[in-house]
Amino acid sequence: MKSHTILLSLLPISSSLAEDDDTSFRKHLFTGLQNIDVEYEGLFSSNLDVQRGSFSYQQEREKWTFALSYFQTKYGLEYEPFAPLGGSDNRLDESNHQGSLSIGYTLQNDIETSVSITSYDGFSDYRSIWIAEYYRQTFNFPGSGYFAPDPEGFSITNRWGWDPQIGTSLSIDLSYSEDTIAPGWTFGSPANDLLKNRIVSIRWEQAINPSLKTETSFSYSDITDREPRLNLQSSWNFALTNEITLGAQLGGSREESDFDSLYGGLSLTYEVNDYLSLKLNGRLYTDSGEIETSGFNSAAPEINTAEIGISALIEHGEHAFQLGISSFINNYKDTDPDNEFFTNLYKNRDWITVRAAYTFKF
Amino acid sequence: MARYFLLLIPLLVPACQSVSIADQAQLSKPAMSFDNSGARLQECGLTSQVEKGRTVTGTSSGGGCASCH
Repeated sequence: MKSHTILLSLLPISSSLAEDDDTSFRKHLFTGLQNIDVEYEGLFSSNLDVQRGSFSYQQEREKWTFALSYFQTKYGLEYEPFAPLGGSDNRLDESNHQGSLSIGYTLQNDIETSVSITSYDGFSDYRSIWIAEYYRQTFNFPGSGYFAPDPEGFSITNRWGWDPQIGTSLSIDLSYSEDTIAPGWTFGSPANDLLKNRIVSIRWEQAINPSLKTETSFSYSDITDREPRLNLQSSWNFALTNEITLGAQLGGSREESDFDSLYGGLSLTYEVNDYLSLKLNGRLYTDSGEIETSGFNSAAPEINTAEIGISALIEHGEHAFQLGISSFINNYKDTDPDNEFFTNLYKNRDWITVRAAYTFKF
Repeated sequence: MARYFLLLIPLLVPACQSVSIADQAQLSKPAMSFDNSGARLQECGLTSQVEKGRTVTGTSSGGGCASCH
């Protein structure tokens, strides 16, 4: 009886020790400067919806940085074939799941390096879903050899960053990715469905004076079956007063043989008080239409877009919350006879974009 | 395209002025930062699905379709 009493009296102690170990383990695991981001974005038009939700966790511990992210994107499309060429209306719902892991380390002389790995499963944009449906309706018959697409992919990025002094930072990203895509089809055979992409990106941030900051970025990407694409972008932020900041951006891309894009925008941010700031932004974009390198033409024609939006950022201690909405319109040039199959995909649309995000730093 | 950026250079030169640690608070404000994320990133990345020739902060890459070059 006495021994039982001793044993019973020890139980809470051992249980308490286990709890202490558990608490200690959790404290050891979740330490340092930590950050949680929860985000939602939506892109809505009359017959196309794209919605994305994400959760990210980041931890900085001495010289190390760890980050984990998960994204889910949902697509809802009312597929509508070009009537004179046949086909049937169809409701299409797809989703994309994506995860990423990043590990960074701070070396001497303010140099940081990191490696990020990202993997995804599912369609990565609404256009490829639409085009894949066209191929399914056109080529999915007995003996055609047609198979349903199963898009997926991964990317690996190595970043090197250098912050030599206040207001100056320089970074270079080296990325490699492989994407198994929804292939284009001709009778009896699909086109290449594996794209390998190599990207070099350079970003230079420089404070010109205490009120003016600039960012210049350049990227070079080389994708299977295509000529390299160059992108150059310059952004400026200018504090007009303590409360009002003017932002400007100009950028463009070039890809041989004949793809060009040019875009620019302005924003005005007003800090109402220590907790609330409001931002009004507008921008324009134009490109010369996509380049067709496969045998069949589903490339987008020339496009012009415009966006105007407003957002609010509320910051209070460790918490930050942002809500934004914008009106986004796109105007395509008419499709050519060789890609009029996609007339209803490449038609003018009025979109509404929504973005809500919450950040917790602790 | 490069000519548009060359036009910006003359604007930079007269504006140059040294930046000290006292200016860090001003320069670190979300409205002055270019590498914001989470709630401090105020741009919807989904518009890149329509605009294929634009760099968008905070979005992930991913293949589309073979014909969508």
